[in-house]
This record gives sequence, C-alpha cells and structure tokens, in this order.
Amino acid sequence: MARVFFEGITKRFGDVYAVRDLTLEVQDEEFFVLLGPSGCGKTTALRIVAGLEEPSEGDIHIGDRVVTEVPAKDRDLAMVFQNYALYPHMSVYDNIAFGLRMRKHSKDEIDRLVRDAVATLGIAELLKRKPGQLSGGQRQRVALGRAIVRRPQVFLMDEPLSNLDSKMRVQMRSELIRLHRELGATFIYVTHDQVEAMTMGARLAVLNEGRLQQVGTPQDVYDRPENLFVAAFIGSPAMNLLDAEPAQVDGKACVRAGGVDVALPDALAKQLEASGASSLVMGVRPEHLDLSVKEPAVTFEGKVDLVESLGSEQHITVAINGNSLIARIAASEKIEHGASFQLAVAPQHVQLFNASTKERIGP
Amino acid sequence: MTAVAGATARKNASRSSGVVRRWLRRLPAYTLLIVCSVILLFPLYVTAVFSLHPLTEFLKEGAPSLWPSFWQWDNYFASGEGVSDTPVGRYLFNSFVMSTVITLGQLITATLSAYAFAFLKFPGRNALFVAFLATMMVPLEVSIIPNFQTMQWLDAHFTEQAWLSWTHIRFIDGFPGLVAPFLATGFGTFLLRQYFMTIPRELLDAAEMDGYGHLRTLIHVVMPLGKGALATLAIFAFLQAWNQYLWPLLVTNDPNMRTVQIGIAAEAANISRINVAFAGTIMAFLPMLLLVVAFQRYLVRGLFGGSVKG
Ligand SMILES: Nc1ncnc2c1ncn2[C@@H]1O[C@H](COP(=O)(O)OP(=O)(O)OP(=O)(O)O)[C@@H](O)[C@H]1O
Ligand SMILES: [Mg+2]
Repeated sequence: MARVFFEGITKRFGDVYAVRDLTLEVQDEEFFVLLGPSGCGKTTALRIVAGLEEPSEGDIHIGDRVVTEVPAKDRDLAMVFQNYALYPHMSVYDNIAFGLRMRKHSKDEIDRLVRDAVATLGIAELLKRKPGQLSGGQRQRVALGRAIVRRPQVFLMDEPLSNLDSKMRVQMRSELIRLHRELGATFIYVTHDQVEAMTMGARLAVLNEGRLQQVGTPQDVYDRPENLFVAAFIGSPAMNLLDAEPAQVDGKACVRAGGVDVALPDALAKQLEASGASSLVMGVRPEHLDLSVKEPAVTFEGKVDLVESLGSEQHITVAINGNSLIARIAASEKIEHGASFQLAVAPQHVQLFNASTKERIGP
Repeated sequence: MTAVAGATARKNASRSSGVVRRWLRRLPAYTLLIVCSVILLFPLYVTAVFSLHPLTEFLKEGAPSLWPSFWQWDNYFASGEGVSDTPVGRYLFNSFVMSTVITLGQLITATLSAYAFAFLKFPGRNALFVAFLATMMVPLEVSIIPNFQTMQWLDAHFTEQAWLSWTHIRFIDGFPGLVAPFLATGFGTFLLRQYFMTIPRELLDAAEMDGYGHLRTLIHVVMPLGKGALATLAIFAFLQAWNQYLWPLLVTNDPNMRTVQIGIAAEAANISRINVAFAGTIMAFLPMLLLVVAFQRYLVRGLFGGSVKG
C-alpha cells in the first residue's frame, strides 16, 4: 500500500516560501499530476517526498509510515529527473544497474532485472552505449529504466517530457500511461504543461506560489475552476475573463459585463446573492462562444481584432467595449479582420468569480 | 555558360585573397608569439648546448660558443666523468618519490575537501573556504621557517622518544619531511571545487536515492566525472614538487636524500665540472618536459580554470 500523504508541508529557503502548508493525499496506484507555472514549488514538493529536501514544517507519509526522517534510499521510491541525470561516464547498462548494486542483488539477478527493464522500454539494443550517444527520447527511456528496474512503490517524475520534441512527447505520454498500468505503482508526475496534466492524470493538483489551488479530476478542474488563478491557468486559449457587476433586469438576477446584461440560471443567481459579492469577474471558455447559440443566449458585439487559423479551427479575438474575447470557431467560417462580429454564449456556460476574494461563485 | 565560369573564377580569386588577408591579420599575433617563444627558449637552448661542450670551452678566452662544436656526450654518460657518475640516479629517484607522494597526497586531500565545499552544507562553510583561499596568497618564504621548525621538532621527537623511534620516521633527511608541508593545498581544493560545482546536482541526488553514501558517490560519480580536473591538479602538483629548491635544501643534509635540483646545484658548485652540471640540469629537466608534453591539454585546461571544456 503506497498512498502518499503530504501533511501540512511547508518549505522555506531563507525568506522564500517554495511550498506553503500543502496538504494533499495521493491514492495508492494513482497517476497523480502536480501542475503549476514555473517556480511554483513543484520540484521542491517532489524532492521533499523523495527525501532529498527536508520540509521546514509538516510530515510526509508513504503507506502507513511517516517518512519525514527516513533517508531517501529507504523510502522505496524512484525519481526521474527533469534533465534525466544519467551518468555520462557509464554505459546504459551500468546506469540502469547502478541503483541495484547498492542493494545486495547477485550479479545474475542484476542482469536479469536490467534486461527486464530494457525489454519493457524497448531499448535492449542500446545497453552498451554511453548517454552522450543517445537521442533525447532514448535518454528519457534510460532514465525511466533506471527508475523501474528497482520496482519501487512510488515513482516521482519531474517534467520528464519537457526536453522532448512535440511528437516524441505525445508518444512518451501514452507510453508512460501504459507503464503506469503495467507497474501498478503510485505515480506523482510534475509538469507545467496542462495538456500532459489533462491527458495523463487521474487527478491533478494545481499549485501557485507554493500554495495548493485545487485538487480534482482534470474534467472537474477544467469545468469548475475554484478560483481565478486556476480559471486562467487551465485551458488554451485561456478562459475569457471580464470584469462584471451584479444587476437586476425585470426583477431577475443578472450580471453586467462588457456592456451586456447576462441573465443567470437560477442556481447561480441564488449563490451570487448569498455570496454578497459586489464586484465580479465573469468567465467564459472560448469554445462556449459561438456565432449563434440556441436560445436563450447572450450576444456580445465587437470588431474582429485577430484571426488565428489552426487548420482544424480558428481562434478569433474580438474587441468588445475595451475588453477582448477569444472564441474558438469552426475553420469553415469565413471571418475577416476588422469586420463587425457577434459572439453568443449560453448562460449555463457563464462562470462567476468574486473579484475581491478571487474565489468561484456557483456550483 | 561563360557568365557562370566567370563567377566561379571570381569566387576562387576572392577566396584565395581571403586566405591571404586572414594571414595578414594574424601576422602581428604570430610575430609576438614567436618572439616570446625565442626569449623563453633561449636559456634552455644555451643550457643544452653548454651541456655538450668539453670543459676547455669554458676555460678559453671569451664566452663559450653558442653552437655545439664537439658534441661531447661523455658529459652525460662516460663513467668517471659524466653525470651518470654522480649520484644523479639517486637524485632523480628522490625527486620522483617526493613528487609522487606529494601529488597523491594533494589528490586525496583536495578531492575530499573539494567534495565537502562543493556539495555539503555545514556551518561556516564559506568562511572556511575563504580561509583555504587565503592560504594561496601566503608565499612559501613566509611559512618555510615555521614549517622547518616544526620538522625539527617532529624529528627530535621521533628520534629521541623510544615509543616513536622504532618507526624510523625521519623529518630531517627523510621523505616525510620532504613531503609533509605540501600534502594539502588551498589551490588543489579550489581547483577541484570549481570543477565539482559544474556537476549537475541531480547526479548526486540520484546516487543518494540509490543508496550511495558520500564516499561511494565520490568514487563512483564525482571522481570519474572530474577526471580531467584531477589530472590537471596532478600535473600541477607534480611539476611544482619537482621544481622545489628551497625546502628540500633546508630539510636535507645527507647527500643521499638530495633531490635532483639540489644535487645538480651541488654539482654546479664544483666549477671544474660545469659542463657536467649543465648536462645534469638537462637531465633534471627532461622528465618534466615529457610530462608537460604528455599532459599538455590538462595544463592548458587548468590555466583556463574550467572556462574551456573538452
Ligand atoms: N535550493 C534552493 N534555494 C533557494 N531557493 C530555492 C531552492 N530551490 C528552489 N528555490 C525556490 O523555490 C521556488 C520553487 O522552486 P521549484 O524548483 O520547486 O519550482 P518549480 O515549480 O519546480 O519550477 P520549474 O517549473 O521552473 O521547474 C522558486 O522560487 C525557487 O527559486
Ligand atoms: Mg522544477
């Protein structure tokens, strides 16, 4: 049993808080992703689990043990470093066998384990090479080999794909998912790439400036971001965020944003009232803005500022009363720069945030 | 067709004039280097020539010739009158043992201290490192008298006290005294630390997670990666030890314990055999020459302080 539990972890470097009061539970055999922008403390959090860094406060539990005081080598986990950390002076074989040599395995056993690992990763023919003679993808596999050969209960991966080209990244993504299924171990996977986070993780945690922002399944986090940071960070192109204020039209609760009154679904209206917020931010995902939406809909009008064609779709930036909205529109629509343009959104796709607390309002 | 041929011809012409221009641009630099080399190599040349003169060449009027007139190899090899007849073999052996022990000592102490300064966190680390660096500023002449007194004191203890004397360790007229002050240097620590700092931290972290302790990490990861820096330190230490003069002169009286530098100087003091002394100088120098030629790239790398990687 290898759940990993962060209990109130804080890590200070001098005056810098790398991680702040992080409490988080990673389930046994889960593929868990830590997501956040550069410098948010992802690596630090991982190094604390690994035992390479001591927390300033809090405890790490692995399985049923508190391991805060346990040295790294006795925690039964393996780490894949961002830059692979292969030993340049050793062959692939020796790199992979390196960790076994300290663990009282016989020579034959080491050989068998190494060959098992390279077979799993499809790099059996590289055993004699030095890391300098490998491509980025091959190095990545060797780094994985070094981790899996020890069969630990927990794998820690620090942006393992960030040095690969995009094609290789897609391939390695699915390979890692397969590996996770085969090994049946707990994976904690650090990335700043939201595509990786969304596609790979069973659950993910969003960090910012050392603080936990939200934990949930990728869909959960995407559909119901708990605060403005998560709303803006997850999704590409990013969610449209407009300053808004509560209003009343014909006795019905609505919000006024971009010069337009948006009627709210009943549940949301109730929660808005309960929150008592006076200044708001309204969020709409670009894919929820369209040329026309089945009634009831709200329509924003403006001029087309920018058209970015991606082949399969186009991203249209429309200037509206000093704000700009980005919409994802089918590639078949002919849209011209400078033209007047209407964007419609259905009210159930509107999300609200309290502008002063930056927290989500609504279900 | 002709237009193409013309263009090709023009290109060739401009290429060859480019080569000429490049050479012209480098001419001042090359001239300077050649002049410097001549100035530096001239004394060596003179020594080599003088080592082949017969003694009569030094006794006649005027300066000895700068061209070997007679090629008297006997200065080197003849029994009864050449260098081979002096205890030069013994001198070379002494120098070699002393330099080797100093080199090994520095490699061991510098590797250990550089590892600590580069990778371990401990209170007072920076202050201690500055203190190490400060020792590099202290010239040998300042420390030589206290060091000598220490050696005398140690020697007295080791010869006079029964519980030590059985070891036969001698700090005056013995290798321990010749090598002791040079087994650890600030320079070696500094040189290796600078290199160790360039090793990615993750390599050490990975070793730590695999259960390698500090000593094993040092042996299996840091030292193999720092081979070049270790070689640089080794050659610097060896050269410096080999060329020592003042210290060996001070702590040895017994002709049997003389290093080659002192032995040759003693030979030169015997003015009647000055040509042989020159031959001895060349013999003392040859091992160094071989060493420098063989390990040139590590020397250059050391001088550039890690800014050039190869
Ligand atoms: N050893 C250290 N000493 C001082 N500050 C550190 C140290 N390690 C990390 N920090 C600081 O802690 C914060 C978090 O760093 P961390 O490396 O965990 O970020 P990260 O999320 O992994 O970023 P990235 O995506 O760029 O790798 C940063 O502000 C960083 O400067
Ligand atoms: Mg990081």
